[in-house]
Amino acid sequence: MLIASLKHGFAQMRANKRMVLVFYLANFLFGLILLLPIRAMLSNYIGDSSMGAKLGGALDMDFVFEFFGSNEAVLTTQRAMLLVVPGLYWLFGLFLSGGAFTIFATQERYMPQQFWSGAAAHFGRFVRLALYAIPVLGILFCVQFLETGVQRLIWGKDAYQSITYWGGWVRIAITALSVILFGMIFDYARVHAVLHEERKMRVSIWQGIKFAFGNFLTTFGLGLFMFIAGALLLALYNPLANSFSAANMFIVLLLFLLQQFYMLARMALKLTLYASEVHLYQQRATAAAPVSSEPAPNLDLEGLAPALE
Amino acid sequence: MEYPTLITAGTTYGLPTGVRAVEVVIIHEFGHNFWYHLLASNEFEESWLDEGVNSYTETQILEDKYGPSGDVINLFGIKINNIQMHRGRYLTAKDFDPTVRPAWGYYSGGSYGTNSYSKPAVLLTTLQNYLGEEKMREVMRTYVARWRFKHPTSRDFINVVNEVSGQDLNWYFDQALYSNVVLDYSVDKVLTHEVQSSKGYDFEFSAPASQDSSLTNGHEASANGADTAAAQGKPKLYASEVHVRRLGQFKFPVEMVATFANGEKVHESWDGQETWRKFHYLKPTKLVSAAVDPDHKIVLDVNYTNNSKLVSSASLGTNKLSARFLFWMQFLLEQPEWLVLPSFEMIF
Repeated sequence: MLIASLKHGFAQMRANKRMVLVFYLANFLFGLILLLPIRAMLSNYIGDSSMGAKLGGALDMDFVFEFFGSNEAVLTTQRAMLLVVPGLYWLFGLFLSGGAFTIFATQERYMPQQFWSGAAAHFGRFVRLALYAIPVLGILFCVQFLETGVQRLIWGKDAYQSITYWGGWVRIAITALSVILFGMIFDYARVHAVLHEERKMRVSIWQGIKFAFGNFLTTFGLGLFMFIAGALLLALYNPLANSFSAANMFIVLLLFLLQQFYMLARMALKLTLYASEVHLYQQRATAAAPVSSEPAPNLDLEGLAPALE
Repeated sequence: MEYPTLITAGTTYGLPTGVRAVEVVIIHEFGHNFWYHLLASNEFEESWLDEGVNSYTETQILEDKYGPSGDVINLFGIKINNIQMHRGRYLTAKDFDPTVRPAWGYYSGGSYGTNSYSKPAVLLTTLQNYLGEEKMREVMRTYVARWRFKHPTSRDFINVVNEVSGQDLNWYFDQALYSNVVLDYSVDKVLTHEVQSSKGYDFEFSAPASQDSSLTNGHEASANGADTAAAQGKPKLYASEVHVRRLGQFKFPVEMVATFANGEKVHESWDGQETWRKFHYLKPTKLVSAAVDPDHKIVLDVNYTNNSKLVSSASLGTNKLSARFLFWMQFLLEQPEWLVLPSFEMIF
């Protein structure tokens, strides 16, 4: 079922490349909003200095110290933007996800009218859903502190540093898993809201929790697979990007293209996950539905067999 | 922490080898066996004599041991030297207090730290670059030999520097130790243009073609002699100017290098006393760039970025940093996993 959903999700993503582009452009535009003040600062500070050419190669740490020391006021603005813009981006992503889930639920190709109307139709509900999801996120985030409790129970308040060090890594792993879990719950709640035209979001969040934990191995496997795929993509990207270190405009352009290609790939992964989740939900929900004496005439049986095994 | 013949240093489990925090502390604390155990200066009234001189020797030892690049941090491609860290710290509190001041008299704890540790490391490295490494080592050896088992003061250190270097360097210490003035030299303008032939008689003719002329402290010399050459159909000549300014109150002799399109480099010296100086050139080649203190020997300079200027702008560095910043912003926007970061702080 996991592989079938992944295959289906990948095919859906490939069939909706323009949707990938919409998600990518949103990410690029919000990134640009965050970049512009820093870019203006850099441009103003470097001016026509030879440092401008030098920084085309390796990063000069003297410059870094000077730059941050001389631009404290603007950096304060940047910090404020870092609090606001990601929030706005998250909301816009929530809006776009309504369109994506609508397209994937109907298994049709990207059509702007359907995408944007789906996005608009579900945005209000998704915002309410997000509010219902806050306690879930809070609970999942607090799971990491179980490690602290266990550590204190076993080793007391003054544990060896090796214990606290590895305990820290365990907490990171738990938090990462919690983030994946939350993503799963929130995604399946949205899928439920779209597929069932649900208006009561407390029902959707509950259905999301039920579905995510009721089919834990498959849903978590799907989330983990995408998480690992993202990490692998980053592991591939990093050495490649670091190799573009020469102080040359062509190399800088290549670096920029590589970075944007990476982000495009991340968006493709994200939409593959959405499509896979919709497919998985549809298959499992169909499998769990009471069997009638006569088969439904238009029932999509793709991927059903593994689920029944 | 230092005690006579005993030092202590702490570490953190799992600290990457590329972060030499423990090494820095060990070298620093060991150094205290000289500054102020062997040379027992007053750490309350002139804290720079122990912490500052010690910070300077710490930078020397780290560079000797780990090389000129990344001697303190060498991790994930990020390389930071000890002297860069001291300079970075100096920039955060560069003009709150003179360096020599009783410990209880500084503006803040940050100013005490900067003036006791970082600024002395920076000013002594600047002095070393001015005198030369060998001469500076001779200074330090003489200072130790003469003042061991005694109680030297700042004035005693300065006297040793003056004696060994054979120069009166009070002008330097008066600014670096006993005042809060900052040092900042910059290239303000670089201009180059082809000399056009004049239509009439040139009354200001003063320099023959292809001969340089420079300005001395605000008095301009004309380079119009080229007009005659251009009018006679000789190769093109370019009149170029470099305007150097002293932006801070700290006066220090500086070197200026003008680079031309044919690869020629012209080295100039300026005593740095006036607030500006203009250099004029008349050459058959265009000026490309100019840099004051191009090798960053004057570590006390609070702004290296304004030390140089190109005739044509170079946006390469800005574009590269922008591309990198844009990417990391896009990445952060998209990755909910960065929520893990607050936990990461708990490890260290």
